[in-house]
Amino acid sequence: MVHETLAATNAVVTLDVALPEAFWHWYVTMNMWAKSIGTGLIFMLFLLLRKNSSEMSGLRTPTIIVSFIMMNVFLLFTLADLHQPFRMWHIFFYPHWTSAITVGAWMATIFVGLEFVMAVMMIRKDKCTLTKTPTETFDKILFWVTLLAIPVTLYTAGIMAESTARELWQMPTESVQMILAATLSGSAAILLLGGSKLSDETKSFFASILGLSALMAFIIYMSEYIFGAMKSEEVAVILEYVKGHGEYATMFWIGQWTAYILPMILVALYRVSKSSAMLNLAAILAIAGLWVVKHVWLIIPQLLPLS
Amino acid sequence: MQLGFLVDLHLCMGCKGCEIACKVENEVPLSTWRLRVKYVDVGTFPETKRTFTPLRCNHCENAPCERICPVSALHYIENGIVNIDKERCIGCAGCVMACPYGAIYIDPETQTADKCTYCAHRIASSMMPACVVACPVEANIFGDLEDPASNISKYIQANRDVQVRKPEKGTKPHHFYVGASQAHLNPLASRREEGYNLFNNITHLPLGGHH
Amino acid sequence: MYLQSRRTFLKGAAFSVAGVAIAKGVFTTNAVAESVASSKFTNTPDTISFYPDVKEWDSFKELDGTDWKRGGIERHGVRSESNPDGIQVNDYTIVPTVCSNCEAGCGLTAWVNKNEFDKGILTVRKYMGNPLHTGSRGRNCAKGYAVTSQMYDPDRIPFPIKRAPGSKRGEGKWVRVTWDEAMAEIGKKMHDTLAKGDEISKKQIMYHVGRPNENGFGPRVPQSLGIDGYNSHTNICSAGAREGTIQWTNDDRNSPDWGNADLIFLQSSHAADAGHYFQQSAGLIADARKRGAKMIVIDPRMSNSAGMADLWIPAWPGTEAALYLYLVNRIVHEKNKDGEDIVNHDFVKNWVNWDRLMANKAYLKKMIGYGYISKMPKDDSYESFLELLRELYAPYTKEFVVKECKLEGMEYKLDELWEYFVPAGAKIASYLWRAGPIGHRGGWMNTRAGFLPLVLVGAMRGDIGGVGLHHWHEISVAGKGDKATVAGKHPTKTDVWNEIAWPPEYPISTYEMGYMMPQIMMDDAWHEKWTKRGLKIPKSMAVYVPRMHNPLWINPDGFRWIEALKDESKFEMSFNLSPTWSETNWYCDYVLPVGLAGERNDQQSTPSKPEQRIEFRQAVLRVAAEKAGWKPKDPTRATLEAHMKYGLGEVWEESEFWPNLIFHHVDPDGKLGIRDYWASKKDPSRCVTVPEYFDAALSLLPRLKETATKMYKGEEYPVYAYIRDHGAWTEKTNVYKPQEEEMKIEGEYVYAHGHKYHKSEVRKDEFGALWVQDGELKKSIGIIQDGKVLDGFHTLSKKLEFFSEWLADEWKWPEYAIPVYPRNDAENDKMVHVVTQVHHKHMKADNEFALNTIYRLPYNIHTRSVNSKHLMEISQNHNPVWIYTKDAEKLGIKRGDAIKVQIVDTLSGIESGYFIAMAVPTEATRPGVLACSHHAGRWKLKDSVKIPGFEHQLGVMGLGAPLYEMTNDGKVGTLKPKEGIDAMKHREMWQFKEYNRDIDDIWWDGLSGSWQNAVAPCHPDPIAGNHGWHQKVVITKAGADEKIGDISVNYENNFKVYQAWRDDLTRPLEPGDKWRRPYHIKRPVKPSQKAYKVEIKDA
Ligand SMILES: Nc1nc2c(c(=O)[nH]1)N[C@H]1C(S)=C(S)[C@@H](COP(=O)(O)OP(=O)(O)OC[C@H]3O[C@@H](n4cnc5c(=O)[nH]c(N)nc54)[C@H](O)[C@@H]3O)O[C@H]1N2
Ligand SMILES: Nc1nc2c(c(=O)[nH]1)N[C@H]1C(S)=C(S)[C@@H](COP(=O)(O)OP(=O)(O)OC[C@H]3O[C@@H](n4cnc5c(=O)[nH]c(N)nc54)[C@H](O)[C@@H]3O)O[C@H]1N2
Ligand code: SF4
Ligand code: SF4
Ligand code: SF4
Ligand code: SF4
Ligand code: SF4
Ligand SMILES: [Mo]
Repeated sequence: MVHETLAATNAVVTLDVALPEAFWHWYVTMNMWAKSIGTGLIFMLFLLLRKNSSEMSGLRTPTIIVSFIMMNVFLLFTLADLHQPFRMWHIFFYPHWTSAITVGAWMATIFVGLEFVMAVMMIRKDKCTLTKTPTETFDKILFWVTLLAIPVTLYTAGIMAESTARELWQMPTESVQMILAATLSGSAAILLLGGSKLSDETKSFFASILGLSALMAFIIYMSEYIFGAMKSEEVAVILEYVKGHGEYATMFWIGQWTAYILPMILVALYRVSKSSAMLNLAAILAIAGLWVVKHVWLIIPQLLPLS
Repeated sequence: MQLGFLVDLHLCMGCKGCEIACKVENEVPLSTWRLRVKYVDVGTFPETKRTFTPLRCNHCENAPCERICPVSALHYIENGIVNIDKERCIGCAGCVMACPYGAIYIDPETQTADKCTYCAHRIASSMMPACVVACPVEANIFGDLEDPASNISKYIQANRDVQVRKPEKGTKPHHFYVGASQAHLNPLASRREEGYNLFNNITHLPLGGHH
Repeated sequence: MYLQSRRTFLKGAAFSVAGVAIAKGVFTTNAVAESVASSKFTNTPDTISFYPDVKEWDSFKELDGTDWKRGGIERHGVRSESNPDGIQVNDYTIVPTVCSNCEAGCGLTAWVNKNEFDKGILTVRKYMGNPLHTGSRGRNCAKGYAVTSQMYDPDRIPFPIKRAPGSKRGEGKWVRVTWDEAMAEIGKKMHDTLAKGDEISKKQIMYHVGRPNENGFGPRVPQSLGIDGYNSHTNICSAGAREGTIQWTNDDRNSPDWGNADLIFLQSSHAADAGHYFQQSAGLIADARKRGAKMIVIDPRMSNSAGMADLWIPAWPGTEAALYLYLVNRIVHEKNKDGEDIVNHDFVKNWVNWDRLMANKAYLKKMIGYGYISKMPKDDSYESFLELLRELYAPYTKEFVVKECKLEGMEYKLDELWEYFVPAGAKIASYLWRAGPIGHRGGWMNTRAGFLPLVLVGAMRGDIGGVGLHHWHEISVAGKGDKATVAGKHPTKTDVWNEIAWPPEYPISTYEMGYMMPQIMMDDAWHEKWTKRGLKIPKSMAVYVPRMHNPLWINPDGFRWIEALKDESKFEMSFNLSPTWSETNWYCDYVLPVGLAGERNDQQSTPSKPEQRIEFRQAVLRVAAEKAGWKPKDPTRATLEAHMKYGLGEVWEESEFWPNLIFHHVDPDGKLGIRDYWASKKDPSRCVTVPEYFDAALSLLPRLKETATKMYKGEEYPVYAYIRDHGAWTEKTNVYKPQEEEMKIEGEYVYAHGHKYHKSEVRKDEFGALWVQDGELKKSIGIIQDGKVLDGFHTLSKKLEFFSEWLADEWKWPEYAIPVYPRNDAENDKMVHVVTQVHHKHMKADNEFALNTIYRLPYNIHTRSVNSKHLMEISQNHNPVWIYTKDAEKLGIKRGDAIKVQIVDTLSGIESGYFIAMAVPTEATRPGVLACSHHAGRWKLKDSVKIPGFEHQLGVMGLGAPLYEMTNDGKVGTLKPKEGIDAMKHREMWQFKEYNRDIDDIWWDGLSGSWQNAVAPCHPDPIAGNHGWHQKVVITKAGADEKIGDISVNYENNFKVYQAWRDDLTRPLEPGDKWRRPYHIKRPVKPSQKAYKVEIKDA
């Protein structure tokens, strides 16, 4: 900490009010996690479309449905996290456009709306009144939805960046992390969803995305872990929580191992052994680990005393 | 008009008159504070000193809380006050995350965000904020920063060491301190040990929001 | 200008917006803008005031802070008929009153919301300050603002209650009674007692008051009853300081001019924590510091004041006299930077009674005998006196102080002290009060010694920036509403002397030995001894009335109090005049809920600066209702009626209760001769009313009377009307050096203190003092200096008394009649009377400490914080034992550890028992000295009380007193906490529900303090009579089954300690003594000279 806490200065708080616990708790973790999967799946579906559209056939419907469900989980937890959930509509009637929350809410809503349309189209293929060629329309919309998925997944980084009090969260890193979270969990999810429907080549394509996302995210975390403290005392204090005997150190490492390190290893092994089981395990770990990783990073900046 | 606050820390004696005045004036529920006075003991015996710092919303010119609020529950009013509207608030706590000074809380009674408004209702009634009126030593100076003849402007002119909290955040607070040390203004410049301390239980409270 | 035009512009804009909006049919928006424009409210006001002008107080409109939370007037406009959704406007009647939480008596204004007056609802929305009060200047501390939460405490007592018939005291069974039933029963008992008319019966009613916070009404009650029945609390509060100050000045406290001083010299915590008169002093000290004044604080503990001082001297507690005499040594020997004497000879030569000392050869010889001086002075001259001083104080060297005050390693602080002290000259302000003087045996000598340097530099002259005296600045008229009564005169003094309050062992104590009433009453041997010697001492109290006092809890040896109060043969009937629950209530027969600060009617006067001022406390709901047109059915019960009508409950007030009680029940037919003192002159068929009484009393202030009669021409009670509307009045400003004022001499008459003497009655003595006969005694009335007849000081010599002649001669303590302090180990043992019981010589092992049990937190008030949710929240009832970090380290004690604190008496070696408390290591207390305040450790034995026939439970101190289990068998008492205050959150909320809707947010449990006072034995100082609060303690870590809050007391042992201090140290009255006490020094309620006379028989 700063020089004031030197033995000579010996400054000790002897009276202060109690501070509230972390405000954004696991509801918000759920929110970010589900959104990563929801948007990540769209990214992957789009990549698949571009790479090998023939493999799309059995995947459009389940992917869009799973993505839609995850997006609804995301919305549900967002709503539940509000202290006044019944006033959610205020965002649409009194929008304040400097707020990433507002922008995000609008985009997420449009995004989920489009997903809904896509899902309905696919489910009611024959009876669809919107279009005569649902699949083609689906693929057309997919482009726009993918485009939209980028800000939808990024806007949380925007909120975190606007959280001025939480020095650890910086827009550049957080936006990269958000995208990586989407690609990591999206690739993992599509691998699980696709299963045997995917060709080996596609599988290893997604496996590479999974491995590389894990690698890059891990690198960023480690950079923060090692270098963050050098730039700001607040970050230094926050990182104490994940270092040494810090309160969140164990959780932090569990997250890093399950979300990144193990999946990377498993993906590498998969490339050698071609064992889908290994790949599936990597995917499951990545999805589960992502939750932990996000959670730790969400909580620790909130522990910083502000008074 | 740009209303602003200044606390002369040479004078503040930590009586907490302001703190209770605020609680009463604004019916701030137990477990939450619009204003708090922090004590930090500095030094080793026999050269120990005690510092007192009243902390409240800074009414930032570039207020992160206002920026992040999705519904403009937090908003500027024409006298420069960052005001809050509990009926508009959806309770997303974005402002709580955004304020670098821990000035916002979720009111457990209304489940909406709340904070110091510089007693905007009193201002609109042509009255000084309650905490300013209370202060036995006149450590709190309040007035129009745009009026060079106001008390606060004069105070700022007369003192060399006018500081704000966390200037590096770019929030441009309209709340100043005179006579401050790091121990006063920087939360990281002192040890904050959880649990019972010399005067009270320095603790983390379960969220005002969820109980 | 700019602002004004902007405002007009905005209004214009609002109107035009409104116009457009109507055109568009958007009615709501336009209503919002218009509602603002057409109101007085605007977000950009031209001026911002601290308080509305007093002319607006009867109806002042302000926006509501809670309703504003909806976004303010920009979003909703101002509430009006056309804009019902606007922000609420409160229509306040602002009623001035006075805070009662400490004795500063700061002005308050109650902001009584009368929006719903028509529906029969009046609420005090908030209390703020009173800008017309020139001492508090519209400002208040936390406790002042907490008056609101105290008023609306959900556990207030809503109506009079009585111990359930058939139950025992302390069982906690209560029934509801009406005020009339209570008055009838109590009145009868008092009547029957007084009707006996013998000496004993005049000692059997006791009115025992804590901090009175009023100036004379209370004392008038026992005086009108013809009894010696007034008992005060001063001996646990401030006796030591009072004793020392009386010896110097014959006034019991000083009165500094903080605001104009250049040096703030504190052995107290006036700058930031407490003290008489806390926030007013603090404000004035801040004024001085703004001007560049320096501040020194002498305190073993780092108070907030010490923490912000320029210099903190953590002298060993109880040894400060040595430090002061060291200053004296340097003052009399050294010169200032300009080579001049530091002693202010002008002042000392004229105004110190050195002449009497130099003339008293017998005493000078004694001084040689004591080894204070080596030889007789050359002559009687002032120079020889200075010579004597030089010799007398030469032993108090720096080396000596460092050793005696244990300031090793802090020598540099003594140099700094000197550096600050000398340049300040006579502009040094100090208030010697509790700190050293109350904590210790001989604490009074601390004051004696402490004033000496101030006298020598001339600071005690009472000039600008120096130290004046209390009675110069205080006005006491509350007891003098006599003209409103049928009697038309003040009740006469009683002829009896009550030994229960004033035992013969403590003739010069300051004042009554109230804190050891149980010890006195339960000591049969003592009773027998003094009865044999001819004194007539009652064996019991017929009626005991604590008022604004919680004696059981705040005094030492609480279990003895419990034992005594429970004993119906000792206390036949008792009733507590208390708005709230307290431990004392629990053992009384009746609890009569009288009002808090904004619910009482009394006059107070606080000498917080060199002016003369009064403030008037009043029942604000009554006043607001009356202003709104309400009238009581019975004018003598207006306060009670108003409180019942406007939702406070059956809360009454002494100013109406006592007159009614006495008039209707104590002396219903006037046969006892008491009734006339309370019967209304205006309508003798009833007792006096508040307006009648206080109009008469306050009319005694000539300037006030003049102003008020002009201002309130048509009013029947103009002076009352003035004070009702303004709340405070400053009769005189800049009261400096009244001793130098010339006495009024007109023709053949001399006027002194309101009396007129014929010149022939007056005798001048060889020192220039003027004497008159006063009954069997003589009293001095003035002094001649340089041919002028001056008022002089209040002492017999009319000068400041360096030499206390009366103490030396008649009152048996010659060795202490001048400021001295033992200079070596042998003297330290011999002069035991003035050596603290916690001297460091008694601390041998590493775990033996002095325990500082006296200090306040700025936001707590003794036992009164427990009824304020806001004050409880700040402190959470937390009361740790402060221990110096390195001491803690040595003993392996960590923050939060429970420690066992065992009290041991150093005079008798007897152990008292222990309390378990939480240790907090800190750099803020000196090595070897622990500190533990007394605010926490409140307890209750029941969480709530069920009153038969009443639908709700009465909660008991729910905000801060945990539930305890108690055992006591007459010898050993224990307390153990059972649960915290969680019950509060679950209890049905029926009183003041809306105000307390946040009670379920309570987040503290109250389980971190302990009732240390109960463990302490009584330690009566043999001279001043003060309980020496500090204790020698032995600490160890608490055992596994010992919890914070546990106490265990051997109060049988405590009794022995009390007896040891009494019997080994005092010099009681003896055969041959003629007087009970020096007649010239103060007694709160003075009986007649006849009562003062005594004859002690040989045993
Ligand atoms: N906030 C607050 N203010 C109050 C009150 C209250 O309850 N709360 N009560 C009022 C009352 S009744 C009174 S009597 C006054 C008392 O006010 P003060 O006279 O100021 O007395 P205390 O607060 O008892 O003690 C003052 C300081 O003396 C220190 N002290 C203790 N023992 C010693 C000693 O042996 N030597 C020296 N040098 N210092 C020592 C304590 O640590 C404390 O900081 O305050 C009044 N004002
Ligand atoms: N260990 C330790 N003990 C101390 C001290 C210390 O420093 N250390 N200080 C001592 C000193 S200086 C003092 S003065 C005493 C104070 O002792 P007290 O005067 O006995 O204490 P308080 O808590 O102020 O008030 C006592 C009671 O007054 C009643 N009361 C409150 N407000 C009102 C009111 O408006 N009207 C009426 N009629 N009653 C009211 C309540 O029943 C309350 O319990 O404590 C002493 N005890
Ligand atoms: S201090 Fe915090 S709450 Fe106040 S304006 Fe600035 S950011 Fe907003
Ligand atoms: S909690 Fe309320 S005030 Fe704060 S950002 Fe959210 S909506 Fe705005
Ligand atoms: S200005 Fe008003 S709201 Fe703000 S801290 Fe002061 S009293 Fe509280
Ligand atoms: S009221 Fe004034 S002196 Fe007291 S704590 Fe507040 S700012 Fe400081
Ligand atoms: S100093 Fe005393 S009288 Fe004045 S406001 Fe504070 S508690 Fe009340
Ligand atoms: Mo006191």
